[in-house]
Amino acid sequence: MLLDVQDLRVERVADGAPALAGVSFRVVKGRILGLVGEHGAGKSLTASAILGLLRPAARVVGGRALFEGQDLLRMSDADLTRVRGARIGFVVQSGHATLDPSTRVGAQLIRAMSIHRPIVKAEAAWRAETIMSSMGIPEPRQRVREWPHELTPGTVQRVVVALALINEPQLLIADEPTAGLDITAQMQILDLLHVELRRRRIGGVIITRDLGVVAQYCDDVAVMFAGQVVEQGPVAQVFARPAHPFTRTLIGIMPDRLATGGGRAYGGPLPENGEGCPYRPRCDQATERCAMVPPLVGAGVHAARCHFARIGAA
Amino acid sequence: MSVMGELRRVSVSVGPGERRVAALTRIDMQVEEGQVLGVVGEAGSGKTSLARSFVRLVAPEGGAVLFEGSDITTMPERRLRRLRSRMTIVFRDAAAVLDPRMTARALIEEPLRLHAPVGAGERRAAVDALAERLRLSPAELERRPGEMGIDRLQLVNVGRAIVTQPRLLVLDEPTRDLDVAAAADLLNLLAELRAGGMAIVMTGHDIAAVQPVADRIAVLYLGEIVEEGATADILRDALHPYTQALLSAHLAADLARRGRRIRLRGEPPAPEDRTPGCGFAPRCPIAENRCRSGAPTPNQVGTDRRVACLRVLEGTSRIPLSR
Repeated sequence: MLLDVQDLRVERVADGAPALAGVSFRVVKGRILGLVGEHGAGKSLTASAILGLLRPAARVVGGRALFEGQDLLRMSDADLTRVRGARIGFVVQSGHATLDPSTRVGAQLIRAMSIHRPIVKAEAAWRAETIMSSMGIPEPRQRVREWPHELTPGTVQRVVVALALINEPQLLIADEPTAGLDITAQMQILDLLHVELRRRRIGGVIITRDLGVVAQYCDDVAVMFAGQVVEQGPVAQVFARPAHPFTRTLIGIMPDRLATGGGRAYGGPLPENGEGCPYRPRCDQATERCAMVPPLVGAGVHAARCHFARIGAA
Repeated sequence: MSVMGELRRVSVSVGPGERRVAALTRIDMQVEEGQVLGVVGEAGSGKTSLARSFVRLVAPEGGAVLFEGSDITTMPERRLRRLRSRMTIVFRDAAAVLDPRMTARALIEEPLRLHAPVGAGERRAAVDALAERLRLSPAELERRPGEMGIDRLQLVNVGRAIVTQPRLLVLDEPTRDLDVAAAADLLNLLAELRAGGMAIVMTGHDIAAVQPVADRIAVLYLGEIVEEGATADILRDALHPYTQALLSAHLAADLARRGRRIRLRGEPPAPEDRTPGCGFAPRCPIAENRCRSGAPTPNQVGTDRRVACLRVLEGTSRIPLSR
């Protein structure tokens, strides 16, 4: 087990409101997990909590995040700094915000290396060029000398992926790595991530709102709703037999299933904080039982948090 | 069916002085009453210029813009203003467009105040009725843009555009920043408006964004239409290599299609770097030498489709999917 997140709880500092209500999922070495859900479900917050980047808006109030057996949530800042960027790579949504606008691209790659170990300048420069080239950036020798503003959005995101990989992490967390890119550029970046994770045998977490990304690039999926993982399992099993009503809805509204036009209404309010299944106000199968906390059904590789879940049933 | 909005050989340039570049080149397009036209293109394809052209927010350098059959290409702004309640446009970034000091109610009401000779009570009733249709709650109507999420804000943005019951509604990437759920709701609303006879032009950066409601789809690349036709025909049998690539790039929740797609090299060039010949040739997997010299013009294929590709005429434009 590369990363084992257990019952992660986070609350907002301002009012103590729960933001993550017990998030659990696992990432297996060499496999890619898709963390999928709507805007506001807590996907990015989960990543921030694991990486110790919540402050000052929120804080962890419970749970564990075991990375190769060590609990990231209880690590000192100094230890966490040694893990972040070295053993865990991170790709954020906005590439341009990641890059330092006043430093040439190559120098940023070299700096990322030097933070974590002593480097020999010439070797580091060579490594920067090599990784740019393996990111599919043509003419890397010239490009390392360019400034971030001179790059196209697609190239910026390739550099961000290079930054995340340059210290050869064991785990890579990518938070909506293609948000805002055009569709052909999206596919190029996801193809690149996929190939590099496989080639380097890196475990991956891809955070996305798009179930298509999960279907096409991930091995496992964790579906989040209202600060919880409501279903997790291998992609093939979850797509073939989704056990949670929210997962079924997500799969049902994929654009390619709307081909006949129209489509059905979906969406709605979240429940007030409190007991019971958070999905129940939007669920068409909800009964009075749903006012009670739903159990985790399935417990094996495929599990869902629903009173009526039947794992493996057609 | 009567034609509501029409572009005839419209060319548009954008940018300052010497750095002015062609955004649209000789575009022919029309949208009828009760029809949704989906315009698909990536960054720099000209889709925003096209959206703005339909409602004459940009003045074309060549060609003509028609609204309800009348030529409005050179109509002065003063007279255009009278049409502004009957042809409206919704921009992608609601947060940037809406006045942060106004409540949702005031924002939706404003176009009525400017354009319709009706009293305050009537305006209020109209906003209430529209809010119900948009599923905006009475409480939300009293909020200001800073207090609303992007999904809800876009509903306000659309509300402003339809409160005057326009004949032509143009939306520029209205669902790009929305969650799947909110996007689906908005598409449903557009389907309702179409049923009421509105002519709708909607842009998107991929086919999936417009396909659920679009009756016809036009694909733009570097300011030119590379393919245009009925949605069902394009989905079933895309003919232009770029349309095929866009369709295959759509990440379907379909495990059977995993990994099988057309991969394009590089990124769309900036308009100023456009090479002679077919604009798509540098990235086209099946381009031949002649594609780099002669620029194809949109040709009628069958009875109801236009495609700008030399190989389409010979029936050799279909690309097999690779892994």
